[in-house]
Amino acid sequence: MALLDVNNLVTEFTTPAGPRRAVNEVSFAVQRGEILGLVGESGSGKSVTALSIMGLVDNQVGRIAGGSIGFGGMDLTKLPAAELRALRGKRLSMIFQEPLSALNPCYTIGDQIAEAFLAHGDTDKRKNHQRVLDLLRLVHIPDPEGVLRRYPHEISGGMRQRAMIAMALAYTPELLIADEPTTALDVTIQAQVLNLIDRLRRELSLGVVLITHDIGIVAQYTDRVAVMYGGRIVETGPTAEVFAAPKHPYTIGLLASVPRLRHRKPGEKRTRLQEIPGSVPSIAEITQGCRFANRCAHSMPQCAQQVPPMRERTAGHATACHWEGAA
Amino acid sequence: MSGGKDSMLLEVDNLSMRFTLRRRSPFQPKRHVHAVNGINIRLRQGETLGIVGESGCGKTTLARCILRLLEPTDGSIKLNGRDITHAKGATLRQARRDMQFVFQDPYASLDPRMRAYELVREPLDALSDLPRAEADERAIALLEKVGLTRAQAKQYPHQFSGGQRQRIGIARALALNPKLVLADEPVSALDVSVRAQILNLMADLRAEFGLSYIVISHDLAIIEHVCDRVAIIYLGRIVEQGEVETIFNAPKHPYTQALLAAIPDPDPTERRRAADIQGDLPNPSAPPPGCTFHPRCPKATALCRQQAPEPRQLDGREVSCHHTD
Repeated sequence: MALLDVNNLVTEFTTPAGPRRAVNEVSFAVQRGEILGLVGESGSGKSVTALSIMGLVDNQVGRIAGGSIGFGGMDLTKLPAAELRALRGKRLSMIFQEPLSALNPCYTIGDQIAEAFLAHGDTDKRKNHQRVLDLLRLVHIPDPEGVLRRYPHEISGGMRQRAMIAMALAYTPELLIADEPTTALDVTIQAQVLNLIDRLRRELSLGVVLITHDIGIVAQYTDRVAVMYGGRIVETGPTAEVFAAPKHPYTIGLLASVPRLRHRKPGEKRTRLQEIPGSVPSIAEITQGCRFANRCAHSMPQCAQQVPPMRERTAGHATACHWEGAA
Repeated sequence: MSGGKDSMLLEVDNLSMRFTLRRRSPFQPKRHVHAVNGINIRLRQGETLGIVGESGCGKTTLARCILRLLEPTDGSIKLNGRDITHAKGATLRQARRDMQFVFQDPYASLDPRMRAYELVREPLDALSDLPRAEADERAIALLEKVGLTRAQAKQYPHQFSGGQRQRIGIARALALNPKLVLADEPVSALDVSVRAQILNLMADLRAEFGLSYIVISHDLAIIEHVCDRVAIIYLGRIVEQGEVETIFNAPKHPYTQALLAAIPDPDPTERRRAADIQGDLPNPSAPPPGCTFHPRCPKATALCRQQAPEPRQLDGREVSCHHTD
């Protein structure tokens, strides 16, 4: 059985114009020890998908309006708040994009990591201190004794993100959701953090949902990928296969629009980048049919009327597109 | 300068910018940050130079010095052969016509209360004596040039998407017919699918107006795609500088090598785990002695810890390293 099984998830937000779906009939599964890449641009619904799984959608403005999230034999969407809280930080963990704003500036790194233990009722101070030290060593923080006493502003961005990962790993979760964990970091530090996540999923056989918009990160670090656009998954499959033979016009365009390093021979003329015309739709716009239709090179009359269903084209590689060329 | 003087647009010599840090007590000695430290840059008319480095390495300070938004503490900047290092008043305003800036975040850099054409007209109002009607016309023509419509010229920034806003930012930079455009991370705030549009637009405008660009970015693939030459900066110094192809195909400085190796390659069939380069960027107010990269460098020796390497010519590029076998 899959570790995480998201089925037809719908998450709605209240807007002045009425409820709008940020996540629309999204389905995917994550196995233990696997990294699933969730790729999409801003507003594609990838972060809201993550928040829905964690039960962190602000119920003042949004709600899970349909579907199920299967995890360890339970449906997380039906779980009472208290039970969900007992899971969060213990069996399900999340690391956020901006470590500086996700950490509390008023507490030391040590106290914040220890908070994960306190929240689950482990109040033995001496034991917690030791566990925090072990966690900091696990994520390769140099001088853990010193870092423990520092405040977030006193350590570097890479260290903060590692401290966040340490916090997320407090109870060795089964599922780790990493929402753009390296967007705020420099490339050399990015490599350190991603290599760390990769090593931990091997050592602890974590299931990982890695949310990113960086095509390079998806190619290098994920086993399977789900491409999101306008709140829906438009293509999913094994990473190598999706990159070798993308089927959905959006995936095709996205992969072609990214400049590649060292693809040009010395002296060779530079080519124009392939563009996807137009811009990313906002969830406030109501559209019938496929949300990509107005930017798509292969759009047909049918695309404007009917949402294309997800169809499996080859084993494990599915896409939601009417275009037959996608087959 | 001899010979190529006519074609040399920008000459930066030994440029340094030092900031004085605030002291916690008046009895503490003064401390400084050398944000930019002895930088030399040459840019020819029509050429594009990429500046690459991690956050805090001084690349934005360098750009601000070149644009004379900051007055450098040392060295000289010549634009078109004229020294503008300490220019003031009318001379500085004249120089500013020739160089313009495209900002990173098109959401923060456009005044939300101005219409698109007013935003583009603003530099004309400030630095040219074009009559109002003509300035309006020119602003609208520029907006059309960057791919917006006449009707959109009347709209406010919030009515545009990120990519369209960046187009306004570019039109605004072009308003005064500059020779040099500095773009600080021009696409990093944009969606991936929109980046290609802006990069292509910049390439088209460069060809059409014979512009020179200085593009600051941490994305090496973008630098390789748009730039002729590249300068890699580490802690305020250029560690390697030369033609993009030369450097990216055979980097000589260990830092350049590490940077290139750290970029995740968008090809899942070529998986490699970059040997992590250890540690973080050191604190710029207390840089390590000798070569500032030595604490993170796999090749560091006793020499590196004591003596900063001088830039030297090697295989068609300039590199500052003791150990470039």
